[in-house]
Amino acid sequence: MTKQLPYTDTELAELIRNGDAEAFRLLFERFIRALVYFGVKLTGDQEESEDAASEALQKLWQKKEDMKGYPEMRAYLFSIVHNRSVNFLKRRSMIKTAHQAIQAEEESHSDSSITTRIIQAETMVAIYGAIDKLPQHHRDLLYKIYIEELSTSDLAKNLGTTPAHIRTAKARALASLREILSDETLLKSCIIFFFLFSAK
Amino acid sequence: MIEDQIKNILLKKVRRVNLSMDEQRQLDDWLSVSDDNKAILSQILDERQLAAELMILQNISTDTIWEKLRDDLQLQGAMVTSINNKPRMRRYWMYAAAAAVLLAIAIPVYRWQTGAEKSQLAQKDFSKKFDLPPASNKATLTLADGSVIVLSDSVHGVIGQQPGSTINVKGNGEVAYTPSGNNTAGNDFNTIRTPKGGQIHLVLPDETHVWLNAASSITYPTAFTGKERRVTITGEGYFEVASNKDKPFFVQTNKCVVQVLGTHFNVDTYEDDEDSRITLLEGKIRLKADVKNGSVGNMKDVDLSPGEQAVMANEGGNNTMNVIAHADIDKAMDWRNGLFNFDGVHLRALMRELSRWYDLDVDYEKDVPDIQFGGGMSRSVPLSEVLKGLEKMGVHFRIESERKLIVINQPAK
Repeated sequence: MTKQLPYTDTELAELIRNGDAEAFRLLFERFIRALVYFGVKLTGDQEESEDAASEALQKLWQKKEDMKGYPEMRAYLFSIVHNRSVNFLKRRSMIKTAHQAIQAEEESHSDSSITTRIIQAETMVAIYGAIDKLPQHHRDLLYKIYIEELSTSDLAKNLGTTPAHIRTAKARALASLREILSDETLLKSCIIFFFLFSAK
Repeated sequence: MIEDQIKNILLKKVRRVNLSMDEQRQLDDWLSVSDDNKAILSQILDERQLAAELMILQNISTDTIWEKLRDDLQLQGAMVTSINNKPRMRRYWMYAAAAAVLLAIAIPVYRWQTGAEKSQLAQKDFSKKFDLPPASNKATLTLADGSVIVLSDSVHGVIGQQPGSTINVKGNGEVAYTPSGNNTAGNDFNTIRTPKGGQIHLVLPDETHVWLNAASSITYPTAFTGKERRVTITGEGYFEVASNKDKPFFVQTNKCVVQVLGTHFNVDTYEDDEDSRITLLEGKIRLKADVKNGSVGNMKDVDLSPGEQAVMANEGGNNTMNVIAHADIDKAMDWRNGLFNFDGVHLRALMRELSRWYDLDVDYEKDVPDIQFGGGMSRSVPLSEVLKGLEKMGVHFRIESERKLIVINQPAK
């Protein structure tokens, strides 16, 4: 679980420039959710945003030799998704009434707004990543409490235990969630996910 | 990079962690740039909004995207180490839910934090020079013959045979008595004591569960053979009494006797606290006057209904008892849920709780500062985290020795 990041950002970028497919896979894992989310916030269209994110990564791979370093790669990926999303809104506005589209486009044009959206996307992915790292039984418990909205006593009956056990288990699940979130390297944890998944 | 710093600050806000003055200034600057930035902060602080945003992330089919991308680019070789291909539908819901929950529970800590922003004092880094871990599963068990067994996380398995029962220690701080052998016994008593910084979960031979807080004790027979079940407690414990109408369950405290039929309740009767509190969660209990230690109320029995709390105190030599109809159940039960609850708690009481949990001695240089707190904190953090919070509230300390803390009235220069 506590496997260290195998590469620094700089090393990762260098490996990709040299055509290392595995490094590219790590880059994909690190950015795919943030890119799609970023697109969805602009266009409101999940499928379009998945295509946009995929296209951005594809273009990056094709131009990998031109990429100077990691910050450039990151900026490049988001800019491709941004441009494509704006074009998508323009195209769609020709067909539909474009009220919402134009508004969204105006909003999304300033640089600071783009930066804001990138921060938003990456922060969301970090929070998501923390939950993803919770042990299965913690996630299951929270699911039952907060999605199925089972009461503590019902849940205790279902699981054949006492309400106090449930309350304790819930508190533990939340405590470990906070602990995971407190990891300062969280923003870079996508790479760790890769190992978690591949280990199964 | 500034963006990374902002992201880290936002994550701290999600966790309701105190920001340093530097971080707070950075966040303020960032918020003042645009309404979009403000919108993001409120988005991650509102559990419903956050849950909705995280749902977007759940719905992204990364595996499918990757497979298509890999085929398009004709990537090979190392790429065969594919991540798991199982459908991940099962997991999808959880993420948003758990995040929503995280926020719900974190809110008390947030209240603490907002009150703290007035402090001009630079945050001290206690952790470098002085820190203590939170309480862990440890206790001593005194057997009927007077021999003492030390219980800790490293003790496992059947540790002894007592008249009428077998003692089994499980991994998670649980000590369980299971009836065995002859049931003729009845006058053999065991005692479990938690030290400061210890806690334990006891299962009695009748399947009654008792969670004992730090610096507490409970004495009980090794088999319940008589017409009633009777235990004695000091300190604080939470009881889930197994129902048995034929054998009423009695809890003797230093202030009163609690008669139980089968129920869940909390007994907080630390001798060094001003008052004792008995809080009922489920079922019904009867508080009986304790003749030995003087009267409770007017010597009448008092019945509690769920949600009620009896507060016993000694005012000017007279024992008093008041029943609070709609008690703050969370406040009484938060210790069981891994939280300190400091709502309306005065500094002296707060420091007492810390001293029990972290095995710490606390003294006061002059008067006890008259500070009342709100909010709460996790009980699983090291002491330094709690002290940082207190510093921000204007409570200052001097460290006297490894386990001794002096509350001072002026910040140290």
